[in-house]
Amino acid sequence: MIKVEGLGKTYRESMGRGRVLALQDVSFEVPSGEVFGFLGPNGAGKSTTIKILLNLIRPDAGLATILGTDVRRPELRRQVGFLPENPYFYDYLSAWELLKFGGRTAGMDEAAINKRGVELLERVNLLAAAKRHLRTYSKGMVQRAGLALALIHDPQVVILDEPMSGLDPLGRKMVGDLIMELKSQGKTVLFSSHVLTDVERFCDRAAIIVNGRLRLVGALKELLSAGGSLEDVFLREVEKAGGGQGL
Amino acid sequence: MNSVWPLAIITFKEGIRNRALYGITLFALMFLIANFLISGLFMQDVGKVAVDMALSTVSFAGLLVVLFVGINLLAKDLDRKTIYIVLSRPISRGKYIFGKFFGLGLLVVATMMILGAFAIASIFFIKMAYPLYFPRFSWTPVFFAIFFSIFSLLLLTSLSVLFSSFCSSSFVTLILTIISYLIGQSLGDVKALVESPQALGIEISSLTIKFISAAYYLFPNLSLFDLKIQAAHNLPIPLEHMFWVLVYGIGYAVLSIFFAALIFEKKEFP
Amino acid sequence: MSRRFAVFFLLAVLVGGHLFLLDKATNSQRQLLTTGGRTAVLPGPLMKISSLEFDGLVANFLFLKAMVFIGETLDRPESPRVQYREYLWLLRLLKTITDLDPYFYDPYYFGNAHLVWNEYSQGKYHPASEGYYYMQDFLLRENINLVDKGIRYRTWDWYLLFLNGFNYFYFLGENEKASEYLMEASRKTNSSPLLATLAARLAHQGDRTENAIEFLHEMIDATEEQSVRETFFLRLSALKKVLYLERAVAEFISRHNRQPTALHELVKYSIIQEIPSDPYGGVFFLDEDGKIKTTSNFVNQ
Ligand SMILES: Nc1ncnc2c1ncn2[C@@H]1O[C@H](COP(=O)(O)OP(=O)(O)O)[C@@H](O)[C@H]1O
Ligand SMILES: [Mg+2]
Repeated sequence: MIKVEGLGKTYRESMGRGRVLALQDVSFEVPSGEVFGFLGPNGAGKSTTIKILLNLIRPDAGLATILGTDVRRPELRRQVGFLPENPYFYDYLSAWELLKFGGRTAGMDEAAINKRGVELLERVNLLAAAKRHLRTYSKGMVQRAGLALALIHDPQVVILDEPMSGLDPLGRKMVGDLIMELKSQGKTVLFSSHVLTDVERFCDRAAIIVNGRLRLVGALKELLSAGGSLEDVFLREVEKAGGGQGL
Repeated sequence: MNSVWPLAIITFKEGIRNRALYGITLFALMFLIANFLISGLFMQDVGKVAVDMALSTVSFAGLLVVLFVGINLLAKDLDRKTIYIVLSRPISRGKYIFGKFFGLGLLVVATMMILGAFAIASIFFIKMAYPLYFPRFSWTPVFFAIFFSIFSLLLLTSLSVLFSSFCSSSFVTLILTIISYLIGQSLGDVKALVESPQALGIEISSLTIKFISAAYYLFPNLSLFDLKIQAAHNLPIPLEHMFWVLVYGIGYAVLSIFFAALIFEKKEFP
Repeated sequence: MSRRFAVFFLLAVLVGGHLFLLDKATNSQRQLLTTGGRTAVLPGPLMKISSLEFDGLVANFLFLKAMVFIGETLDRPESPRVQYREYLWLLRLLKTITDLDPYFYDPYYFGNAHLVWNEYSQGKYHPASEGYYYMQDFLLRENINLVDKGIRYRTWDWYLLFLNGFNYFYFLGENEKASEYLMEASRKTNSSPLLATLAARLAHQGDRTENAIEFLHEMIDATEEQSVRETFFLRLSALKKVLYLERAVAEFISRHNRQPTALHELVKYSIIQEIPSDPYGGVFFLDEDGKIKTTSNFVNQ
């Protein structure tokens, strides 16, 4: 399970000029086996929160744990799979080499990597292109390769930053199916998005974050009980918070 | 180790498939072929000229590899955020630095072996063509010179890793590495000049001397690794010298990597 | 079709223009004041700093420059062929080269061939060209220093010792010093077996011409550059004629108990058939001090 408590983060721009308050007292919890949607307009602080969960940046305040372990411990990431926003991989590696790397760093043996690698590539429809250099991939293919990399070591917790962005309807459906499959395997999934229709379909609970502050957290049913679609709820919250930075 | 090695491998693969590497190798090859023509122009010391040219080509091409392929590999990780997919694995920051350095080291060693083989071939063929003009030639110091050249490039690589751990852009890393190379190669000669300025009939202020001795302790003395003149004239290279230079190089590289790891531990990747 | 023609036409114009402009630009470059291939020479220590780890390589290219310079002077019509200040430049260049790589053989060898064996090198013993005395002496002594530097570094090399031995003997007339160099040279491996004998003979003074001929034989054996060999051959043939005349004079003195007044007397008294011609284009004569000299001063006329 994922737990963040009182996260705060201010970006200092170089030369000490500007300061950007990105997160302010953000707390939420994602119980095991749940699919959690993390919603917010652009620049709301979704990626910042996720990067804190991956120990890519450090919070100024608060604490983040996954499976009860402080996120700063590298061994923890044996149980965590991560797909960055707009992933970019090495130019001259193939998807297959990327998966090998992922499996090896997670301590898997070669046989297990080969077996799971082929399964995953088939699942994300990249088997035919597995030996090609990533340089030659389209944006959607890169995104799918990233998904396979995030899942190669069969992690307990999967964190996806905008997994749907840049995908065609077929790709979106594939990602949605994958998330449902993970849920059925009892994995914990946290994904961020600003595309609401996708979220509605498969998350158990959701949080809405605007301008670095958490506005709402709860089961999808509760959020929708106030009336209207998720989109209405979302727009209402953004309005209340004084507008996003351009939805 | 089980996460350092895979990172080293993908770093190496990403580097060895880089187009720039082919360009550099091609340049070196052309120079080594030209070596045949150029050394033939000399009157007596053809062997020295051939060895000089071949070894200088290898060193220079290796330098280009470190500066334009190696640093690029480090910088791209940060610039284009490929580092996310590495650090989101169970890899500590320290291991990331080690893995990256090992990968770059492998790349330098591999390309230098290939370039070195070309250089040896070019010396071999020139020797075949002008056997009488190689009176003092021996292969052993040539191998030593290539080996130590590789070593100095590894040292430079470790420095570039250190620079990239705190520089915000790859350009700054590149400039700092070039400056370190220039200083590292000339420091020995500068110090010799400062210690006996009468060779040029100039006076040197005590401030300059302090400045230079500070640089002397700060920057790596890369000229210690330059055995090209020794190889060209088959001059004796004492084993003791080689031993101490090697240990010095390893010590300096370990220090740089250690500092890089310390700095990287604190770094954020927004 | 017309489009293709237009492209072709444009291409032809551009390529033609390129060739024309290249020609113009290179021709106009001639108007620049140039140094005649002689660019500034950095002192050795500075050059060593700026050549980084490529000292040997830079030495090679600087030396090529020296060779190209001398090569280009070969078809100059004027005399002296190379100006004194050009030799000074060459000297500076060679000093820098040997600072970069003091083990490099060619610059010592090349320096000796050109700084000493040139039109300025006859002054001291042939006072006819008094004006060159200072220049020659300076170049000679600087060259001896340069070769000495090579001797310090190239501890295995006998030939540089031999060269300076010759310089001391032939140009400075210091036989004792020359003998020391030759003794040292004869101790090196691969040195010529004749060096020790030559050294011993030098220690005895006298026999100047004969010794010089011995030296020249050695030098010709160790030289491959054709133009330098020719210089030596020319001097060798002149010296053989001087030796021939010296022996005739000695014969004359032993027969007549006096100096001949002129070389004609040698022919008149049938000691020799005729006075040989000077290969440098001068005429041999008997000087007041009783020595055989030539109007050419061993410089090509
Ligand atoms: N490296 C950075 N330096 C300064 N400000 C940043 C940086 N990264 C993000 N921000 C700011 O932090 C806020 C949150 O950004 P982010 O977490 O990326 O938003 P989201 O992912 O929800 O679109 C934004 O206002 C953004 O401009
Ligand atoms: Mg984002």
